[in-house]
Amino acid sequence: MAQKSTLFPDRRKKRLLIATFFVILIITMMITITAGVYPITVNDVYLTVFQHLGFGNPLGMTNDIVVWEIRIPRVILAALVGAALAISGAVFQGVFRNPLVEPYIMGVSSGAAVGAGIAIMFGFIVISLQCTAFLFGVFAAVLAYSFATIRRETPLVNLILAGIVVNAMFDAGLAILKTIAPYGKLQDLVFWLMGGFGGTKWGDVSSVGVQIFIGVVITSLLGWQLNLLAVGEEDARSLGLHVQRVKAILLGLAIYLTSISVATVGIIAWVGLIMPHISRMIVGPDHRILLPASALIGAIFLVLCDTLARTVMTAEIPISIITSAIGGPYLLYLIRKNRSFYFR
Amino acid sequence: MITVTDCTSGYDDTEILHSISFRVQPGIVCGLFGPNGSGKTTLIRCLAGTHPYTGTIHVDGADISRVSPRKLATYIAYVPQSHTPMFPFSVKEVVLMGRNPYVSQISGPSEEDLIRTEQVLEDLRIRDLADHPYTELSGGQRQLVILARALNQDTPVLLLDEPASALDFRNQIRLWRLLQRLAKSGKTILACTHDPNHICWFCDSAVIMNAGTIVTHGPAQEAISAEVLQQLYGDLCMVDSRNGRSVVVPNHQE
Repeated sequence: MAQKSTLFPDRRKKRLLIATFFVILIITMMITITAGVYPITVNDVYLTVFQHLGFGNPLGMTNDIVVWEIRIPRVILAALVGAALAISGAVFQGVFRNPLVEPYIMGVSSGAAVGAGIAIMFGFIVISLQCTAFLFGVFAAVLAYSFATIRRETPLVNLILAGIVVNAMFDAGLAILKTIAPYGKLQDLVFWLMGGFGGTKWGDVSSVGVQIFIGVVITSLLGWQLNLLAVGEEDARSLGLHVQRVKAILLGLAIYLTSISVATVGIIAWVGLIMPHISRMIVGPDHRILLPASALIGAIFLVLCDTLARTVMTAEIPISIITSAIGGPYLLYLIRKNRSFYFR
Repeated sequence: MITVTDCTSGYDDTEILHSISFRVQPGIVCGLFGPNGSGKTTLIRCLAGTHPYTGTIHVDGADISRVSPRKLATYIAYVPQSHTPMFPFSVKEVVLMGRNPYVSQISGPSEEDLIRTEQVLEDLRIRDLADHPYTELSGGQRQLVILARALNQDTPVLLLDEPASALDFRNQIRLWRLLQRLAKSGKTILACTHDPNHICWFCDSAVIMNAGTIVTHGPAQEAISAEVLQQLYGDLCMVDSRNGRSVVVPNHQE
């Protein structure tokens, strides 16, 4: 058809916005790589990356190790995990039609943590660590959802209360694991539970990072379907959406992304709740734009938080403390400002 | 054409619809009338494919339980009772969603979908609302937007659940006139209402329900009779006639 619709004049602009977020992310990563005890300039980062791509000369051993072996994989993994957590939050909020729900609040993160903890205790290899984390993540979500559903209705208050219960159950599970763990395993477990991106290697990026990247891209492509679900399940069904199937795919992806993130870097709270919210304020509720925007903004946020975590004090601060310090007050602000909006 | 045969449905253990059968011819406005709790909404939801039932429902010869949701959405469009969604989607985004059964599930709406959406907005004279958040509209505007979404589905059958309930008197008349025009263009329209006068004034035929069964079914003027009203409401109201049109008026209090 030669005719052009004038209905969505801002479509190009929104795509441009996504590209802008991506550029901001890359710049943020470049700059944060320079931050740390060992002084490095942006130019060094640039040259090191180029050298590894096959251009130019090596810059020297120390520089290469700090930039290429330590900081770059760490920043990339932080970005990917940030994207994973944020997009999972956006999916949960859309599917459950409430901007106060996310995998962490629903107990998915704790579930995944117990799964990962069990795998660590019994010494499973990397793949089954993620598998166990995912299975327990799904289990936690199913538990929370069925606790919260009464007579086919799932009110928000029930969901949040059910999330608290599920969280408590899995926290107890983790405590049991710690109690029964033999000495050597206990050390592994506690070290992992503290979480964070310290000690990230290229191996983590190529195993977990790639899975997250693929997961985030696939999820981003389901924005249209999520829009329909976000209006209401009955509406979505009458508009021709296979509601149960799409819901399962979307929640499955979100739980998968959350679980493998938790299995790799421990529980990082608040990213999944706050990032979709900020993104929605910037790009609006259309999930075709909102999903990629959340992923990118989440990535930027977590890269910044991780940089704070490793530079503010001489010893590294657990990253969850930083995300909580920002996320907690923000949630409080949201609830007080929009009380009638969330609880009706 | 809609053909319902022995349709039984309910919620959990409670049976709401008891073996309902009726038929709606194409090109007419059929009113579904009955008191609160008579099963109108449940019946509409069964027809829309969003509620389980036993028995058979055929639309244009196809058994709706045997087609995929996507295919069904090209036969039947459904306007539910208005509700407020959580997220402030703009009007144009909501109406565009009506194109879902034709939209590629990977690449999203095409240029043609956008053009059709714009056309529907103009047909219903709500083009100027296109950029408004749907959550901030009045009840009447919201009803029009959902109707626009349903029309955007481009289906032979249109189901409406209490379409006039959130509208003022002027908009009620405009809505029913619009439904009459749509019927003239060949659509089959089934709309439920709890105002008997809407049946008398705007519908070609009527299905009158009470307590999950059909009381009567036929041309609108005949269906709303003194006997039927007596059965539904007792001595509460009576049928009057003004200029050859039936009007249901309340009885004077003793």
